[in-house]
Amino acid sequence: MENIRLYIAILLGMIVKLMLKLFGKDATSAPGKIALKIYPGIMKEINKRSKLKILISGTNGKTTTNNIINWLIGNDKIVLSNLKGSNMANGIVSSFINNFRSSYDIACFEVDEGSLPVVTRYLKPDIFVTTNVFRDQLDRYGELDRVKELILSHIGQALAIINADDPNLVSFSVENKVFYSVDENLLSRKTNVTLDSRFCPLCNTKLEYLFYNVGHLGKYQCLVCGYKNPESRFVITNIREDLEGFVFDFVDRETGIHIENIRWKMGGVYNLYNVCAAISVAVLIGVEEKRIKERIETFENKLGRLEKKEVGGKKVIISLVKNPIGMSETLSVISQDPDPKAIVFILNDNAADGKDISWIWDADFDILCRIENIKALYFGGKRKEDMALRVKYSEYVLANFEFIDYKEELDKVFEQKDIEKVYILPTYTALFEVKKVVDDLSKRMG
Amino acid sequence: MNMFPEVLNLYGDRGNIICLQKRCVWRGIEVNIFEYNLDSNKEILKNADIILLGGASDREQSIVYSHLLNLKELIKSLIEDGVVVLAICGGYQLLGEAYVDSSGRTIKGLHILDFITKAEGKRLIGNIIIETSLDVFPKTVVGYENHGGRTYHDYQPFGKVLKGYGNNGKDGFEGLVYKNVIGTYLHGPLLPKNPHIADFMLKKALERKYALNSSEFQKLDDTLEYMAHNKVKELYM
Repeated sequence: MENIRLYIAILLGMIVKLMLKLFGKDATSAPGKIALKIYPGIMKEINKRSKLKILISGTNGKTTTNNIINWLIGNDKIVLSNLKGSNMANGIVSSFINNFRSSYDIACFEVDEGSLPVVTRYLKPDIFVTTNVFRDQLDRYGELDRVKELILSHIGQALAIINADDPNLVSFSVENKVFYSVDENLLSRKTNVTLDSRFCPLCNTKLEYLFYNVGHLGKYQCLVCGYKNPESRFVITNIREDLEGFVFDFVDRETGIHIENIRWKMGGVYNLYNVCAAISVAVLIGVEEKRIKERIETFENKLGRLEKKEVGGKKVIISLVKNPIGMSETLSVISQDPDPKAIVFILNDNAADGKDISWIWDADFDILCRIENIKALYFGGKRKEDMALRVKYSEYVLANFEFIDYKEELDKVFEQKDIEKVYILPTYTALFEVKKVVDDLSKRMG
Repeated sequence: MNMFPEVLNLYGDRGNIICLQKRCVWRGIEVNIFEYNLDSNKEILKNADIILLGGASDREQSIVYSHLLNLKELIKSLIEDGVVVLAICGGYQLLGEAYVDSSGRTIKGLHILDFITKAEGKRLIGNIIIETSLDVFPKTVVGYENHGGRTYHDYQPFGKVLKGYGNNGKDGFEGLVYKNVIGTYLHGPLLPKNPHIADFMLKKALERKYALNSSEFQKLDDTLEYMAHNKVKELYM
């Protein structure tokens, strides 16, 4: 009986997928939704058919980390994954329907924190990667402490790969674990304004930091109870900047593996954490050192996390922003680019974006003052006025700006003569729409 | 005076202090912002003209609670003396006598005002629009609420709920006004999209300190502020 339900579920899922494809729509969620309705236990099948299961959860970096892990594993293994970031139960089941097979070498999924209870009920991970815990869409998950507990309680029997630089995560009472971290580098800071987590999880004293890498990720210690970063097995170290991004070494302190001078083409210190977590997984599942270096150096982001395109001779950089730290870090990355530019902010407040948009006030928009050559700012999305207002109340003087309908009027931005680059910073639901618009414009305007 | 900003800062409430600061600066009013932290000296609170008291998660709130208890008498006398206070969410609840959690346990408040808050059922979350009882224009105040507690009191409410839940989701009222204290569940943050409330607070503080005549209070260009304000009404009313 279960088998019949399974096949009906898959069949209907596939029909939905075909219909969506026919109308040129995205099939990352709806096929799974219908299949789950018919057979709620369908994830048991994914569990059964996959030899090795990896889950990735945390506030930021899930999609990038997942994509790097997939890229590191490569094509010689059969991998089932939700690469496009559709990370709730519907998305995971959709990926199964879209890539349906009798068995997989590896299942590698990013999982939304709020979906962990339903996903881990059926899907039992061998490896569980935790990225970090930041303030995100609090209307869904409640406060920081609860998100922490959500992640903690669903690691199960897996080997946990934990970010040692996040004081929230290391206090986890998980038995089977290894830590990773990113060393101090040129972009590390001694002070920080956008902090989510300032208190020792053991004794509630204010934590002292030797340096901050991203938000509250860094080297910390509690002067009262002695709590500090645990010793990491996997470390990104000897970090240097070059024109295109970073050059760094990766060290596995347990086995002595030391991969030198890896070139990484994406900006942002936060991405180093994603790379570190991904290489840690690769090392643990036996990917060769040489291949790791080659693959990291050829990784290209296709998913709107600092993705690069071109329209009408202008470079377009699209970067998803969905929480304060992501916004602050993205603005920091832009501040390293001296070229004449326009920045397009797109703020939606649909369920997947987070209905509460107050997070924009926790981001550090004063960084705009450090960005050279801003020729214009554009604001789009359902809550564009709120975004403009946020910038008005930063230290940056909001003078040259315009509201636009990002679905209809984006070409206006590219017609602007005095710019070479366009940065587009959309929230989640706007990301896919704006990418499509940019692709269409790219075809039209070259 | 921003009370315990390291701890009591949730859902962008930092925006309230940014808003008050900017609206002073734009008018050429000199403003000093003090952060009252766990190791601050009580004396500096005595000179405060405006006090912001935010909320936090249960764990974080318990960190500052004992410190606030030491300041109870001082805060009470300041309030009676007309100091301007904006207390939001957990900060609002703290002004009352107690918070009764879902297991029936009573957590004491500062008991500066006579009211209690009870945890009942699901959290009240969403966009909220109220019609305020304050003498300001426009009458509407927009924000976002996210609270588990239900507050019951007989004080003047901050407003009447037009959309959303408010104090308890039942009696149709939101927040509380007592002397120059505004207690409310409105995040959003509250002040940037409601510049009339920000200016109300600034005027009250200036009147108290310098006996300012409100005609001397410069009007600002709030086009963008009211565009954001009206967008919430348009989308969610």
